[in-house]
Amino acid sequence: MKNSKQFAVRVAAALFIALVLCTIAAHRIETLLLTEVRTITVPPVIEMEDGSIVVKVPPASVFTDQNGEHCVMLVRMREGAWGKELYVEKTSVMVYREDYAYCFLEGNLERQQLAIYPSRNLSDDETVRCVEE
Amino acid sequence: MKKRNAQFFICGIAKLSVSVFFFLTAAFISKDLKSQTPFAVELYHTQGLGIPMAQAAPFTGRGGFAAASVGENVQVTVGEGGKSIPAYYQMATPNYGAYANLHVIEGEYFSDDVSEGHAVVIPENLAKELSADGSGEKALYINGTEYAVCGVYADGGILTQLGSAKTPVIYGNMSENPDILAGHFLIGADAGKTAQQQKQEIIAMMEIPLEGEINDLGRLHQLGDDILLLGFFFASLWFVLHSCIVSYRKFISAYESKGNAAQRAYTAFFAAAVLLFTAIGFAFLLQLVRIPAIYLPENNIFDLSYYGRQILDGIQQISTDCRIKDFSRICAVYLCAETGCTVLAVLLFWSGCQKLRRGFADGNVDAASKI
Repeated sequence: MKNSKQFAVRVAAALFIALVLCTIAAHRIETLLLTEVRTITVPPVIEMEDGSIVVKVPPASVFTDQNGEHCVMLVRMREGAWGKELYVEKTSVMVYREDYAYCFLEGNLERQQLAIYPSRNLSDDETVRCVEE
Repeated sequence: MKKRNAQFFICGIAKLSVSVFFFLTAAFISKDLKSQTPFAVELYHTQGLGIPMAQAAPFTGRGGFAAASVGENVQVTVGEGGKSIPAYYQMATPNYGAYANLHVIEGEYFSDDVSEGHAVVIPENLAKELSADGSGEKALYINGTEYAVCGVYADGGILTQLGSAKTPVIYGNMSENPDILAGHFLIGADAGKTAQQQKQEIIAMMEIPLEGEINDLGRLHQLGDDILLLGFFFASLWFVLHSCIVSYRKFISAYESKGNAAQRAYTAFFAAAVLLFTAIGFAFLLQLVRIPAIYLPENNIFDLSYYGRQILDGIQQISTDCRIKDFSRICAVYLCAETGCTVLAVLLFWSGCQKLRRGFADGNVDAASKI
């Protein structure tokens, strides 16, 4: 009886230590599997000839949603189970003008962080990780 | 007993020294692979990318890429009436040398004063043939036309071996024939973008559809570093696992001890502290494992079929009789050599640590028995 109790305690201690290590490894794996994005900060607004307020961003930061409408993914921070985490918030935008180098978006997105070059398709409210520069 | 301790120490230190040697060898191989490989994404088509060099050249500066024309097999004659050597001739933009990571050891890669006329950059082995000719002239004949040699680049660059490991590749100035079709682009690699994304950006910028195969040469730089970091991670795991064993033994000792409560509490506290430090160390150690998300399966990191497919694709590429066969084989040799050195280094590190630990443990036993 005593031996089986000792055996149970030993197994429990070993399992506990293994569980601690596995939890830490799982957290890292979960981070690695998040969609990877780069971020850019939107420059100050520009006033066009017709009085429209626009911001100039790279075309890679403008996405098309399932309805075929243009949108950008704003990078936000929130409190998660393991501390602060980054997530994206889908925001519909109107394209004022675009060329191969830049996209001019209507509205004031000044100083917002936008996600670009995601490793996979992004969806609204998705937790992401930023590429280490 | 003391003699045995000394044996353990000597053996442990010897193994650790050899382990360090293998780690340094792996680092050297990784560095060499980087110096021989362009940090770029190659967009290539045997029949040409569909646009003339003159049309692509204006975009090279702002698009972050370099272009080279469709190559042709030529006969190079060193000196008049000299021996004929088969070579591969390509015309390239002035920034091509930088993107292709060509190490120019003599002269320079198309300076401003040679922007016009018949000028070429040749590999080192061809330059040696020129020197052996003894004429002292820095000129050669390509299909009967005379060309001035303005630069010599070091042999061994992987890109020059994409066509063949043996045929010398000669780069000519694109101003010579701007209407020739572009054969491949070298797009500056960006770790945060996939090769496909970079291709799409170039297409969007040039507003011309480009069809061709993509070779992500920049990925090799990342792989070399990642293998080294994984090696450090696995080597350091010894400390984590050993600390866990110490912690486990202390916990059990606290539970089974017949001593007083304070002593047992102290042992349990010590075990918990060791476990806490181990957990923190392990978490920091895991930061060394850096794999870009684009190279991982989408949802399940243990998706073995995904890794199997990747390995099979690699093997298929190596064995397929295509243009990049030589390139794939050379890279495979580099990466396998680096992996082999890293695995050996890790095993020796573990073994060396184990020997040292046994040496210390025996020393403690010895001291305890004396007491």
